[in-house]
Amino acid sequence: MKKILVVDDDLDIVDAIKTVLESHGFSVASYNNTQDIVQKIKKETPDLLLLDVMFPENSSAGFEVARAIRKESSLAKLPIIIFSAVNEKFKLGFMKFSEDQIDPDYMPVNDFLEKPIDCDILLEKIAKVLKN
Amino acid sequence: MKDSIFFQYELLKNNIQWFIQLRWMVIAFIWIFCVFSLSFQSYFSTKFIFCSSSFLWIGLLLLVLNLIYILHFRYFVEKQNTYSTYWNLYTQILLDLLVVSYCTYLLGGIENPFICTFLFHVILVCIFLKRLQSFVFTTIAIFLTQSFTILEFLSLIPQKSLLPYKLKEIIYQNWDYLIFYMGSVLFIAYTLWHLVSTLSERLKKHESMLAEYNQKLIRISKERSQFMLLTSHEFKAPLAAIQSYAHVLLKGYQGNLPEKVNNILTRIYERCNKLNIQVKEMIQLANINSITVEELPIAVVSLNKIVESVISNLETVSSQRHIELKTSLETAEMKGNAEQLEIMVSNLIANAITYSKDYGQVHVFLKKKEEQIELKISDQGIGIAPENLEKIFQEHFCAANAIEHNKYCTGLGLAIVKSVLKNHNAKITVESDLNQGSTFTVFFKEPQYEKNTRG
Repeated sequence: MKKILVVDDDLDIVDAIKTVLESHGFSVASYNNTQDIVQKIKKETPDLLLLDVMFPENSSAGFEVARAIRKESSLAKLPIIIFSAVNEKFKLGFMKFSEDQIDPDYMPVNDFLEKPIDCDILLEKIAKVLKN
Repeated sequence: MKDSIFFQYELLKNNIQWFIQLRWMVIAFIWIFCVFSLSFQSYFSTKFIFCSSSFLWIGLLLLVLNLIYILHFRYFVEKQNTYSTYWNLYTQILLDLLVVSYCTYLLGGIENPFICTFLFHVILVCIFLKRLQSFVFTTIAIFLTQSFTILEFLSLIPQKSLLPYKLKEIIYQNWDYLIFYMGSVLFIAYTLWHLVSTLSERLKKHESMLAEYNQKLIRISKERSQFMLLTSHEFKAPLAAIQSYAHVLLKGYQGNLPEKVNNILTRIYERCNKLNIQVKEMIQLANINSITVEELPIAVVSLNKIVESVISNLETVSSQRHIELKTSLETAEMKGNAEQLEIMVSNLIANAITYSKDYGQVHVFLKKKEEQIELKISDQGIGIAPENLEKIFQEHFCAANAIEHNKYCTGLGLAIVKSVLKNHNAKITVESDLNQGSTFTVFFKEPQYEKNTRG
């Protein structure tokens, strides 16, 4: 059974994702903030991470978490799907919030999912990322 | 603050260049004067001829100096060295004053109104430098021009006179006249300094106030857009939750639903979809408007590739309605922001498809003619009424026939197009006949953003 970890502050989104994924035989764990998240992920050892971008603590926390994960040698290969209510085509919005002058094309994630969660697309992307 | 220093520095650089240009004109004028007087020398007195041959040398001196200033400007000033900029300017002013004083002496000094020439320098100095600096330069100017008069008076240098009479000797025996003369020069020069420098200070203050105000406006507009962005996101988050749940239910994850419930849920989902599109477009527009042209990341992008990828994304939608997408794309590279350009192209082509009738055709042409890139998108759809042509780029405007044809009309798509084109210094034209179709043509002009090319 593949284990998927969902990190999102929106409990309803987490609940919706859980409903879909559990009925397709995944085991789902979740956190609703990014505090010490890298350590928590290390303990959970998920097969895939579903990560939100905007958290109340920081409007681009998701990207920071993704970068921090990639710096950990044990997690460097963990598949990450980042998701947000803001369109994928408009990454500029994140970059300006973070005041972080990293190349806007730089996203250390495997895929992007746009909210609202479309059940079919969610399953499709998870299958694709896990296959690789 | 940093901006205003940079602004002042740019102004200083412009002034240096202007001084160099002015000097070329002065050199040309001096040499024309020399050629003229030498070719008609039989008509002039010998004193005057002597004078013009000296002016030939002065012209040459100014030419050499000007070349030095230019070289210094290229190799030091252009490299953002503020000290060398000031040194360049000060040296130019001081050496010019020296040359002017010497010319005044050659042209008869006290007896010739040419002596007032140094007042030009006083005026220029007052405009370009601060009050105290211009006071110092005014004093130096007076001192230099008048020192020749004093040296002549004391017979320490030969008396130059253009007049056939021994006027100078007579004047220089007359102490009272000399005192009045010096007093008048001092009075005129310092009054001029006071008037021009006061006015110039006031203007500068006004100018910096305007610049500050402008900065403030830019900041407020940015904050407004940031606020808008966060607010829009706040709308999208709960909407996304509602829609995600609705989709989970519609897909039967909580068991099969009675048909009526299913229908209502489908409507909820659709209404959310429209709101979602609206909020998404509001975020896009706020994003595009919140970034200034100077801040926009610019790279060389291939517009034909952007158009191709947009078309491949829209093929499913168009084939569902049996709309044929015909393209004729030339290779067209330009400097721009790929993300914004993609949104713009996507909006225009998606509009052409949306407002086409089923089984219609959409043509997309991309041409590059010399410096100009032309993107033309035409459809055979519902068209735009003549009275609406002016309004379609306004935010939230939806024409009546557009709403009838497309229930998701938000009136933001073309406003986004307009903002993107503004950021890219491009133009758009629209031709349309009601029920016949519309043609949108975008014109990009190269070169753009030379200063801001990244990547």
